[in-house]
Amino acid sequence: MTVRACTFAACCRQKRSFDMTDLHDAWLAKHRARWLRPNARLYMRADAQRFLRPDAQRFLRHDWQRYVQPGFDPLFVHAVLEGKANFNPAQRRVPAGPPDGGQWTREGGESGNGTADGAAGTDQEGPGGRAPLRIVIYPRDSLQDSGPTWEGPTFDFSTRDLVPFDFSIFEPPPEIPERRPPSTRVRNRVVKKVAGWAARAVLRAPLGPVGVVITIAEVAMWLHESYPYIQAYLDPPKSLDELQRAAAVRKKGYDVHHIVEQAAGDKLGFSRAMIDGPDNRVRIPTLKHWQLTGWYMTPNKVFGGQTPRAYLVGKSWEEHVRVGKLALIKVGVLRP
Amino acid sequence: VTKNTLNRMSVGELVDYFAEICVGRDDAELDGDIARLNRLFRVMTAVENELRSRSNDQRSALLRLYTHSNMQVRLDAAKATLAVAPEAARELLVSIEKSGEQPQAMDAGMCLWTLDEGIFKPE
Repeated sequence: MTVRACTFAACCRQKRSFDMTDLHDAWLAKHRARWLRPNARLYMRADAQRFLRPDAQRFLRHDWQRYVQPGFDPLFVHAVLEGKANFNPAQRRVPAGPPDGGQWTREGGESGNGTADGAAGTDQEGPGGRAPLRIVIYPRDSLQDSGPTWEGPTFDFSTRDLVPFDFSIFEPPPEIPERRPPSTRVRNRVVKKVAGWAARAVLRAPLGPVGVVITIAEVAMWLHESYPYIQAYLDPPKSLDELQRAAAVRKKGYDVHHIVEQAAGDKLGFSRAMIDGPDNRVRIPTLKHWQLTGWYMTPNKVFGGQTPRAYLVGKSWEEHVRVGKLALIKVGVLRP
Repeated sequence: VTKNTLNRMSVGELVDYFAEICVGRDDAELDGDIARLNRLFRVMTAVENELRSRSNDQRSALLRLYTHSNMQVRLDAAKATLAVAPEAARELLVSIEKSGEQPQAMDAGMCLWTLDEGIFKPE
């Protein structure tokens, strides 16, 4: 593993420009070094397990190199740390003073402890104070002791959860390409499939939608960039007021949607003040927004083979709002 | 696919073709390919009309798609059979809406709304 010289002075000596990727490489190199020392466990945060692939402990052995294929890059073992997928700034911590001061807590103030089997007690709490459902997507091969196999363009994924109930009710996760697909269309397709799969898993979980944490294995790190979209897709329905107030703040994974569509409103002569008014703007998950827009643009048998958008031509503002709100309810964004 | 081609197909073949189109629609939705969705809608409508024109309105043959593994196939089959099996079709639409699986749940929910409002009158 090569660590690039990363200081500004080193870059000057090498007569090359200094950019943020230098700092990023240095950050990665530092963390790799921490995790690969023989006593790495001493330096792990209590909830580190939740950022790791399920078999990551194999790589904390002093002789871990015996168990991996030649040329294997240890970066992949813990690269998910970068995503910090489960970070919740609102989660409570133990007050300063006691030995576990500063650590994340459960709802009741109990200090969390990561355990060897990965059953982290430090997960965020879902509504109602229950532990969230956690879904881990990881390569099936990683369960074998022969070491990871990285060949092939795609991996077979499976689920593992840390909440004790029957996971056979879940369908297998979709295939996720190891490498980031160059085409946006293909990337979006994978993201939609993963989001849909996770949503179905939540719907079938006997615990109910108590909040979902998805940890995506390192083999599909590119998917981490889309994590906010997947997480947003799993949002429970909200009140109209919540959606309208949220529209004032942009957030990755969400779009601002006009209940009375902008284009339709323009064509029908509704004023911009009405279209852009706070009552007409709601912030909804991007993937749901795409589904909603797709529905408006696609011919539908129930509207005599017209698109819903065409059906609404000539209808009053109130009718547009009525259909718009109903569509938001039916797509699972607005609470009835 | 021309009307002549559809004329030559058996009812079973038309049902299989209908399912194939619906799977294609599901695929196009995943790709966000609205043009393909629209094209497939026209073909699906043509297949449905062909089944309807056969003796004894063979749209009821689409009932066997109610248990298809693909949600889009089940949804489109339910909508296509509302005129010939209203109760069973409605029951299926309700179950799709309740499943919460998008975007089919939304489409099913809006379909039920148009039925209740009298906007959609299955023929």
